[in-house]
Amino acid sequence: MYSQELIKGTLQTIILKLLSENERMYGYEITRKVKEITKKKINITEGALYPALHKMVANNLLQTETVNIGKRIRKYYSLTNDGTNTAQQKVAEFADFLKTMSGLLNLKPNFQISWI
Amino acid sequence: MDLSISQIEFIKKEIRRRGIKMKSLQEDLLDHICCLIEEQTKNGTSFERAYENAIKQFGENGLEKVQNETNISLIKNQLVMTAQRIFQGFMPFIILGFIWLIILLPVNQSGVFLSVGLLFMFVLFTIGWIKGFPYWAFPVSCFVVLISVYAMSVSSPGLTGSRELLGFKALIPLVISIFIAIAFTRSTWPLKQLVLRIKNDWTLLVFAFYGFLPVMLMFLFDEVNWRYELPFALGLIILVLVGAYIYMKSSKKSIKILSLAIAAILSVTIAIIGSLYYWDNIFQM
Repeated sequence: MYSQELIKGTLQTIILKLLSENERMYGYEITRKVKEITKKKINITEGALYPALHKMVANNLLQTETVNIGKRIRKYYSLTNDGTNTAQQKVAEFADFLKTMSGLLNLKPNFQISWI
Repeated sequence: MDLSISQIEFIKKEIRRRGIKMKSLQEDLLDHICCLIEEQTKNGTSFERAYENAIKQFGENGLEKVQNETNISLIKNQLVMTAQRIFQGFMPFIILGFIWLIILLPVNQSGVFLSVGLLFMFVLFTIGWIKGFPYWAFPVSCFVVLISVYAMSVSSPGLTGSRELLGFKALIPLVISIFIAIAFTRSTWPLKQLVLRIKNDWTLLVFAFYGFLPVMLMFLFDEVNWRYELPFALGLIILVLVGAYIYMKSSKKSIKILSLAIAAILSVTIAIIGSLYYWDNIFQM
């Protein structure tokens, strides 16, 4: 499992990317999906997830929709137009960042560290 | 296994008891905790045990920490956004105010300062284009377009340094700015963003034209003695900034439009009255 510091810097990008591929998701679903895709290597804590989601709603990147699922309310998150644009930007920025870091850390194509 | 209404009510009470006051966060946490419990009760774990495990997963005072983190994040975000937004939104009007003061004051090399001010506006326009026309780029864009069109067709020695009509030459700075922006972005994304932003908030069009207000006010004081004009210029720049500030702070479209309209009407009225009073009384001064 990666450190929370590493995940903190990429959390917004992770959320935006997930929501760009899924029409809408609720909080628990986001944590579960990330765990599933990353084979439990990335574990988004509730203390990180909900502040990030609320901040992104405040910044008009996400919008919410409350749905009655029987005995309780479920809040779904989805991308706004701004969020959709930002998702593309952030993912492209991160891909570029990975390339840069790969060069800086002198990583081989399969991301092994080269000490030469 | 789906939770019963009494179990859900229990969790709701517990969330409130643990100090969660934010309603939106209560909804998130209720559903999250219920999901955690349901996953365990599916495998035969009792509700009580599953609830304990779910709360343990948050850590000690975990729910309160989530609320504190959310509050801190929102407050920080609000402060940064507000300060950033206001600074960026004020920029075009501060530069235009600076240009106005430079034109009217008997300053040596005022032409140089004027050119620098105008250049800054075109640079801001280029940056705004590259960044996909954020809201502050609207008054800047309207200013550079209208001032270019104005300089094309009206002789203005104060602006161009010559009595000659510039014609299409006046469009050169605008064309260069657009060329640089396109060379940088190499895509139509900024223009798509421009259309999208207007679609999402049409008041940006009004804010765009508001960017030309300082210039209109300057024109109303054309040929007026600088000592008479100075207090009006300072007061009217502040009034324009107040209108822009209220526009940027409001989320309601009606208030946004009202703030710009009132600031524009007031400032133009004061400028007209001030200018008329000057010309009526000029021989007595």
